[in-house]
Parts: sequence; structure tokens; C-alpha cells
Amino acid sequence: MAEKILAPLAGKVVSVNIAVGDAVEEDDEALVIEAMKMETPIYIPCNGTVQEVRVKEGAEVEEDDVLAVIE
Amino acid sequence: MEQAITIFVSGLGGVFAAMALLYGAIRLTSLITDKIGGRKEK
Amino acid sequence: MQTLIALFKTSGVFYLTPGMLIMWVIALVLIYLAIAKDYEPLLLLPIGFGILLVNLPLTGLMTPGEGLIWRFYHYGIQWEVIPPLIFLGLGALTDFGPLLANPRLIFLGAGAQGGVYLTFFVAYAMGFDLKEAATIGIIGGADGPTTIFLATKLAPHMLGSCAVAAYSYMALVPIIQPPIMKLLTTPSERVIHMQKGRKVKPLEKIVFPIMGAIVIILLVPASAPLVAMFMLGNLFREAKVVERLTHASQNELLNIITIFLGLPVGATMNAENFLQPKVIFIFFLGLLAFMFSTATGIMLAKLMNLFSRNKINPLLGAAGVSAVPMAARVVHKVAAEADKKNYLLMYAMGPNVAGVIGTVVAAGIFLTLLG
Repeated sequence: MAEKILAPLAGKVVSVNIAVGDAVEEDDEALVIEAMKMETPIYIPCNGTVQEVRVKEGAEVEEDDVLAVIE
Repeated sequence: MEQAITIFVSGLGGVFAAMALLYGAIRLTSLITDKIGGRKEK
Repeated sequence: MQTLIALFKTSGVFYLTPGMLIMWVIALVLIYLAIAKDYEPLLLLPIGFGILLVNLPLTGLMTPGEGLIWRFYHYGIQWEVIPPLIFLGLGALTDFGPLLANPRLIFLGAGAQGGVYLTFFVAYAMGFDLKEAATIGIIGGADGPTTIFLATKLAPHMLGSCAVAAYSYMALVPIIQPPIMKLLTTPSERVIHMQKGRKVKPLEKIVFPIMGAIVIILLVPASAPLVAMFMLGNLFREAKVVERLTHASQNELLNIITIFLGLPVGATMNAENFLQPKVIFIFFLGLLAFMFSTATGIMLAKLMNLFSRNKINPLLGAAGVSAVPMAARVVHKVAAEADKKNYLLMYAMGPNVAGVIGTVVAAGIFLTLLG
């Protein structure tokens, strides 16, 4: 089952720590979004493999944008 | 002392009253804008 | 030789007092904290320098009618020009979106003003008069320009110490708030995830500053100078047709007036005025005000949870303290400690900006009743 990681807040992606094909575990740090001058790490919601990463470092994201898909 | 209590009560009451009115205003605005938006979609 | 001595005597050295030297130390500490520790440097740096200047003898910088800094003070602060202009800039910087998405969180911005009134009460009980107590209480709103605005009108002799207390405690929000937040909430409350707010349309964001101005100014006319400018700045921002004005309010104008705010506020703190036992109590009560505000915000959130099915994470109550965005960041971090995947930052911005409005209303009410 595919699980999407949605952006919980709007901001700028400052780092992406996952790549397609990575095996990931719940609570691993997936990427970091900067908003309100604060870096917010976004965590993996479930165990699985990364199927898709839809954002790059430096991208501006809106709330609820799909950041990555985990399977 | 009596005056201090009056200020305490009316001040706190006033702040909450202002926020309640703003809350009402926000809800009303969202209702109206939803209506307008809904009409456009039809 | 004689003239040399005469010249020497016109220098300030002979007129230094021990009090002035103590004030130098205070000024240098503030400057140090601003530079090395990044404590609200935009304000504390000019304030610190202002304190130093006014404690140099014979300068006449604060002589009424003549002094340079006195002119900044008189025309900027006493004439009530600068704090409202700061609010114009803050309005242009404020995004009410998170508040409009979760409108009920607006009450948390009112809840945190409980600390203002509790402190007012404690200060009055400790022997400050009503006007002084109100000025000390408003420190708990964690809003610098509002504190300065109210102090100028009610207790100008306490302006410097109240402003310094407000700005220093704002810098200390990440240290002051978390212990209280953890004490007042249970682990199961801290992990509550918030339900998604509604989508906010651009039209709502335009309507809000207009409605907000009408509602608040009608209810508390004395808050008009601050509310009017705040909402105007926000209208500039949301209207999206006056980018230049928005930009100017947020940047150039705000930066320029910040310079003319800090310096004269610092310059009100001469040794005779500042070195009094009262000042220690002001700082103590100011801290108490921050703590009370955090606590009352959280307690209100818990109270609201008793009556609603859709629970609020009570940590959000602490964001009602209007130190924008420090209090919201603190809420986010404390919540993330309990549950990594709970991202509260944007929810916390709602009560945070509501807290600004709440503090202004509280100040307006004090002015109405005591001014």
C-alpha cells in the first residue's frame, strides 16, 4: 500500500534525505522544510521503500503538496 | 481595590468579547464566501 | 595652565556618578546580549546604546526642547507616532491565514491575556498604583510596541524598564515557556494531532482586516491607533495590488522607525530614574506575567476541550502569548518532543497572531478605564 507524505506546512525544502528505492523505517527523517525561520524535519510515516520523491532541495512547497510516496 | 477588581473583570471580559465578535465575523465571512464560491461553480 | 584646567572641568569626567557607571554596565550587558546572544538585537542594541548615552554627563541629549534624542522621544514616542507605524509593518508581515483556517483558536489569543490581568492584580496588591500596575501587566502580552504605547500614556517613568523587560523576556520565551507547558499538560494531551483547518480563500483574507478594524475599533475605540495601522498594513498585504506599499511597510519603513524606537526608549533610563528598588519588582512581575500568560492560555485550551469533541492540543494555548513567531516555534518544538510527526507550527501561528490583537485590545481597555 502506498503512503503519501504530505507537506504539513508551507515552506522551502532545505534538504532531502531519501531517494527512490531506499528502504526506510517509520520515524526516519525524510526531509527538512524551513518555515518561519525554523527548520522542521518531516518524518517517514511507515516502514517501506521510497517509490517516488517529488520535491528537490530548494523547492517551495505549499501545505498538503505531496512530497514523496512510500510503499 | 474595588476599582482594581472592576478593571480585572471588565478587561478580561472585554478581551473575550472582542475575540468572540471577531470569531463571529470570521465565520460569517467564510459562510458568505462559500456561498459566492458555490454559486460560481453552478 | 589655568585655561587647561578650566577646559578640563568642562569635560564630563567630573560629573560622573556611581549610578551612571552602574548604568554603563547595564547598557554594556544589553549590548553584549544583543550581539553575542542574539537577544532581540533589533531593539536591545539601540536601547543599550541609548542607555549608555543618557548616562554620559553634560550631553543634554535628553534635555526637553533641545536634545537630539529628546526630539526622537517627544515626536516619535510621546506623540504616539512610532508604535502605530511599527504596527503598520507588523500588519504587513502578518499572515492571518492560519487563524482563518482554524477560527476557534482565536480564543486562545484571548486566554493568554489572562496573564496580563493577573499580573496587573498582583502588581496592584504589591503597592503599585493602578496605572503602573496596568503597564506592568501588559508586559505579559509579550508585545513590545504595545507595552511602549501603554507605558507612554499611563506610566512614562517606567517606560524604559518595562520595554527592556518585555523585549528581554521575549528573547527568553524558549526558556520560560516549556517548563510551564510541560507542567500543565499530560503526555497524552501533548500528542493530540490537530484536525486540518478549512481552506482559506483570498477574499476572506482581504475581508478580515476590514472587518477586524470595524469590530475592534467599535468595541474599544482607545485601541484605534494600533489596530487601525495593524489592519491597514495587513490589508496592503492581502489586497495584493499595492506590493510597493506592502514592501515598504515591511522593510524600509519598519527598519527606519525601529532605529528611532530603540534609542529614545533606552535614553529614558537615566540613573536616577532606573536605579530604584521598584525596577527589580518590575522585572520580577514581568517574568511572572509571561509565565501567567502561558499558563492561562493552556488552561483555556483545556477548558475548551471539555466542551468540544474535536480536541485542541492544549500546548497551542501557550502560543497565545503574542511573541510572534517565537511562542509558535516553542509550541511546535515541545509538541515534536512528544510526537515527532506532530507538526503544530502553522496551527500555533493562529493563536499567536490572535494574541497580538488580544494584547492591543487589553491595552485599549486599560487606556479607556485609566487614561
